[in-house]
Amino acid sequence: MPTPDETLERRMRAAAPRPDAAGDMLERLVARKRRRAVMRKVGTIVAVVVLIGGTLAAFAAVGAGPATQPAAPSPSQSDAMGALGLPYPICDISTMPLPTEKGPGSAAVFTRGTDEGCPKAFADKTVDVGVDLNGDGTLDATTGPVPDCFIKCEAFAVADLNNDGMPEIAVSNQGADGYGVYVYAIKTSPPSIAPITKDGDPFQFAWAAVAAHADAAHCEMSDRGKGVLVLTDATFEPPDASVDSVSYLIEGTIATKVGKDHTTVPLDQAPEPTDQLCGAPIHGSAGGV
Amino acid sequence: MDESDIRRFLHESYPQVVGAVALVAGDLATAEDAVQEAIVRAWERTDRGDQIDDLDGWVAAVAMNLSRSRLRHLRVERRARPRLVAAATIDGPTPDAIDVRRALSTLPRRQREAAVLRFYLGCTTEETASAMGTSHGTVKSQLAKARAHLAVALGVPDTDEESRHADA
Repeated sequence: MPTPDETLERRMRAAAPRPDAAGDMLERLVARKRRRAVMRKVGTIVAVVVLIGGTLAAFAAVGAGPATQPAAPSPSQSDAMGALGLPYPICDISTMPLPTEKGPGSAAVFTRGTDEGCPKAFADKTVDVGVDLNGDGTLDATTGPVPDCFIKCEAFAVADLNNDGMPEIAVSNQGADGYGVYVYAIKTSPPSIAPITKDGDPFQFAWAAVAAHADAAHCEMSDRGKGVLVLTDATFEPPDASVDSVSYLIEGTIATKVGKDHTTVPLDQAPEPTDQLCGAPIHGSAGGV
Repeated sequence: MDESDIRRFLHESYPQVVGAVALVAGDLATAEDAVQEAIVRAWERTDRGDQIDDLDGWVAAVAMNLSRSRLRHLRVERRARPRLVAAATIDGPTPDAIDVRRALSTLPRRQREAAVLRFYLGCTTEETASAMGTSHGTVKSQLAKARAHLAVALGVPDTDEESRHADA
């Protein structure tokens, strides 16, 4: 008679997906190792160039006097139990301005605390997002949990992604090599916030720039005069970049794929993450990428 | 570590480690990519003179961490989708496999990792704790919760005193 643990073991073994046998796996790993070595060299060169460029820019800025462009506002981050008018303690709060017709509101990303305080391990945390639509310091609507908060989730941007006059709330989750961004739709009357979905799953896009690859997003007007969000996936193949683009129309809480494209552009024209999303500043640790 | 060690790993351990990561990540393509990346990283470390005593455990632990990256998941999924669709139409999982994967997917990530390391890869609680970078006590707690959940979800009696003692 097998023990319950033996039963679990047997059933897990039977359930585990099996990879295809790949006779050339060693060759593929050798190639991958070489590719990583090249990437590191490219990354080092890019870092040096950025450092030199940044230094020169700093000297130029000092020579030109005070900067005329205001810096993007930073998210306010603090640990506060019972803040924002919620009936439970919260912590890991990051906020960003959310101007509405009701006033200077804000959007907040926060972790639900417990009576014992803020969970220490992110695996134990439930991260929600909420909006204060009139600036009275109280969240009028919340939703959650934000998916995939394995490392850190935080406020990302308040941006009008579909050009309908009402901003969407973007929340980032930090991954090993960049960010995933989830998007939320809001209404002012009655106050609500809800995740935008695509085919029933939370709508998200990647925001990352590594040595030979970049994922980003920007807004465009479609041929039919509607605002669309274009997600780009660029692979750098000097002297060019291969760019896959997918366009989404966001209506209410539904994102619908309305187009896709593949182009090759000169490397310096490849779409990459910037410090803005559709004209709105990027907040949090992804800001100023 | 040299090519003969890599060949040994690919021949003896690769399918099982990929299966473990796939059970945790819920996606075979992500698991394959993460395990291959982990093998290469292990190879690079040993090239630099580092010692890796338990290659299977090291690769499994690193691959599980790598598979957490949602961006990696998205990119790999995009590249692998045509292949996965083709494979699924030829040889889909059995109903019991679907039940097990679904039961695992409803566990919190850390419990899922603990359960797969312990039950699927056969790690001791000490080895599981080491792979997860956490304490022996935390792993025991995670395993107890995972076992109880899986017992209900899969109709397995959760009365294994012997294994509880073994975890202790």
